[in-house]
Amino acid sequence: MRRSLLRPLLASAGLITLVGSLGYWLASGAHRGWSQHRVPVGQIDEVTGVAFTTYEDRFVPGIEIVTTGVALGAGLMAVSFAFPSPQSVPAKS
Amino acid sequence: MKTSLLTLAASLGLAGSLAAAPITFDFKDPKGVNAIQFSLDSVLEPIAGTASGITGKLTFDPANPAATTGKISVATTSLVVPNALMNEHLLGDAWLNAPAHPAITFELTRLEGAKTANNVTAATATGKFTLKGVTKEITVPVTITYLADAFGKRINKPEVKGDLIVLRGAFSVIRGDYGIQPGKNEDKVNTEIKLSLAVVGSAPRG
Repeated sequence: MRRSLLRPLLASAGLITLVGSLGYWLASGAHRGWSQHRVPVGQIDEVTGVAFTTYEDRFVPGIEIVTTGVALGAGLMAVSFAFPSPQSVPAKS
Repeated sequence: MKTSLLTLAASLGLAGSLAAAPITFDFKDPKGVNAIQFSLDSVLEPIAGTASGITGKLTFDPANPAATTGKISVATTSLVVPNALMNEHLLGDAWLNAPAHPAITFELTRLEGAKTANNVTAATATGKFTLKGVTKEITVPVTITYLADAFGKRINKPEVKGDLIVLRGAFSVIRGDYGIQPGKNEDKVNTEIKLSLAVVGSAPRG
C-alpha cells in the first residue's frame, strides 16, 4: 500500500469508528450504565399488587462500548497524523 | 330437637375451628413471578438484579399471626443481573460460589409485634438467614397480606378455590459477614447488600 494513502485511510477509519460507536450508543438509548445483555422490565401482578421484573433478551450498549469506540476512533485519527499527507509526498517522476 | 341443636352446635364449632385453622402456603408460584430483588451500590451504577427460584412454605393462621412458621429458599443459580459478565462473576467462586452453595434460605423462628388491620399483618420476623453457607440470625420488618379466596382469580380459574398470602419485607446484610469478598473490592462494590421481597404464597383447596 502506498504510504500516502495511510493517513486518509486511518483518519477515515477513526472517524467512522468514533461516529459509529457514538451513534450506535445514542440510537440504542444512550444507556449510561454498563452494557445490558437482558433488559429488566417492571410489571405488576394485578390480583396481588406485587411488583415483579421480567427480562427482555436484547443487547443495550453501555458506557464501556461508547468510550472504547470513541477512544479507538480518536486513537486511529491521532495515529494517522504520523503519516505524511498525500499532498506532501513528492510525485515520482 | 335437643339432638338437632347439639348437631348444629357441633357443626358450628367444627366450622369455626376450620376457619381458624392455620393454612400452609406454598411459595412455588404457579405464575412464576415470585422473586427477590437485590442491589449493591457500585461504580457507575448499582448492581441490581432479581432471584426468581423461590420455594418454601409458610404456615399462617389469620386468627393468630404470631404463630406463623415457615422457610423460604432461593436457588442461587436463579440470581440474574442485566450484564452477562457480571452475572458470571456473581455466581462464580469469588462471589457466591453457586455450585457449592446452591441455596439462600430464611427460616422463620418467631414473629413478634404482630398488628393486624383488615387483612394486613405487620410484624417483625426473626429467623436464620443462610447465605454462602454462613447462617446468622436476622430481624426483618415484614407485612403479610392475607387474600382469602383469591387463588382462582390469580390463575384465571375462578372455579379453583384457595387463598393467597403476600409476604413483603426489606432488609440488608453485609457481604463480608457471609464470606463474600470480605474486605475486598470495597472501593468498587459496596459492602451492603440490600434485599427486598414481595412474594406470593398459594394455598389451593380441594
